[in-house]
Amino acid sequence: MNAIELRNLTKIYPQFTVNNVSLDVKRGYITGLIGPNGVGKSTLIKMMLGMVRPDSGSVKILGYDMPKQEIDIKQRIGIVSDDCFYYEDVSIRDMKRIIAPFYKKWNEQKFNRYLERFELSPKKKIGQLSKGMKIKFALAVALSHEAELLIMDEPTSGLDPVFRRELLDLLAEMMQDERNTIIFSTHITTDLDRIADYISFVNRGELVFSEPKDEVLDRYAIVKGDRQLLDSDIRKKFAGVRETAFGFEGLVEDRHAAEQLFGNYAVFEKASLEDIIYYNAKGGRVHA
Amino acid sequence: MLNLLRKDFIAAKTSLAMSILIFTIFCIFFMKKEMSMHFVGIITAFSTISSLTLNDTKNHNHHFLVTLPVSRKHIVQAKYVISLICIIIAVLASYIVHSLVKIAVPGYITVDYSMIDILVPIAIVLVLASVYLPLFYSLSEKGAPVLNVIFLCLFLIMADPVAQTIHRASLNGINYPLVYGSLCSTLILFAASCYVTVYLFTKKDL
Repeated sequence: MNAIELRNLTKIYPQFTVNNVSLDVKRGYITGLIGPNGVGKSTLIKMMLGMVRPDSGSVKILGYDMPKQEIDIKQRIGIVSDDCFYYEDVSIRDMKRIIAPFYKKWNEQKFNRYLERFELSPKKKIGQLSKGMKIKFALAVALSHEAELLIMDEPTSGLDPVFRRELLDLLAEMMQDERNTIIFSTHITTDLDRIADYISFVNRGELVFSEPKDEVLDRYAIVKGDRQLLDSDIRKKFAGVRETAFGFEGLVEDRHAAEQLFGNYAVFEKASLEDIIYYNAKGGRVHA
Repeated sequence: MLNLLRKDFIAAKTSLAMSILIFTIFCIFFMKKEMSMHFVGIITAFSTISSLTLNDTKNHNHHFLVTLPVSRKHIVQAKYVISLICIIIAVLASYIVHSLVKIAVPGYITVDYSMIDILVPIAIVLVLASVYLPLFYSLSEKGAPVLNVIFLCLFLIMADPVAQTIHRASLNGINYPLVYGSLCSTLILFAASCYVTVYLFTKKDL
């Protein structure tokens, strides 16, 4: 079953378009939404949350239609974003007093436990919290109303390595309940290397692929070799290729096809998620 | 809806304290003037509404509000309800304070207050809020503070001429059907304004 179903989502801005995106996010797994900055990841997430109205297409979350059943959806989801939009002049305790009554399944004990675990003082004002502390607070809120789906927009950007690791452990802990789902948008791919089950790659407003992470990493490969191996037809086989005076390095989508094409004349390496973003974003030929 | 009203009271504690301060200062400085009761009620009501709305845009708080399990329609409706509450409380408070001073210090306030003196300020702020709130919800976070400044300037420019007009009208004898008709029209305008604001805010991308 899918936790999120996006169908033919289109949003046209004067200088940017999210074009006909259809995406399924599997229930019970962590899906990483990756792509360079400004390609539409946050717009997609905003459309999921009903913050941006799509020009066409539909959004279904946990079986409910957005925006028709938005209240049912928001009872069941938690949102953690790198931008904290809480009221700056109120304390953590008062912010909790604002938020808690909206949720049917608010768990006060759980919330207090998370505050203790994250070393957040209830008396501290939101405006005095650092970015990392605000994310901790957002996470405490999201986890305290028994959210089945956690939607995270760049949650690790601006966090120190210690809390980033702690956050990933916490997410892994949450995933012990098979009903829970996480969608995690980021451009810090090392976080996803650790925890993601599925990867959805967005580039220039379009979905490039959405597949299990292991399949993606097996399918893509980095090919290195002498420039003499390249001609115009072969260059087209690469998602992106970087050429230097000494040779080339490129990303291919089909490792087996590339192995057959180059045989022993080239070296094949496992591509990382960062390689996949880099070469796809650059496209064509890159001169170093 | 109740949760949203509660939210306003918790989030805007400082703004509400500021409204009490405005009320006190204007009472002290204008008490002797003939139209003081109307003026203090109107300015306190409108400044409270504008600070409550501004409080939601200070840190892009609408982005937070729309993530809560509540529809945009309810967010707007709650703001209209709290505006109405603020208007009634501010005008009544002004009426009560002025009446108490009139009783406590005979001769200090010479005007006799009637029901009309409560209804007219309420109607004036309802009209102002009916124009202000749709503009506020359709403008961006940058536009909203500018709107507040424009309304405050308009308010200060218009306050005295409007007060004089009300005063002259009351001297010529009050046309009760006209007053009650105007109040009903104002309430209809307020409801229509709420409907328009819901439409505008529901369509808005955040």
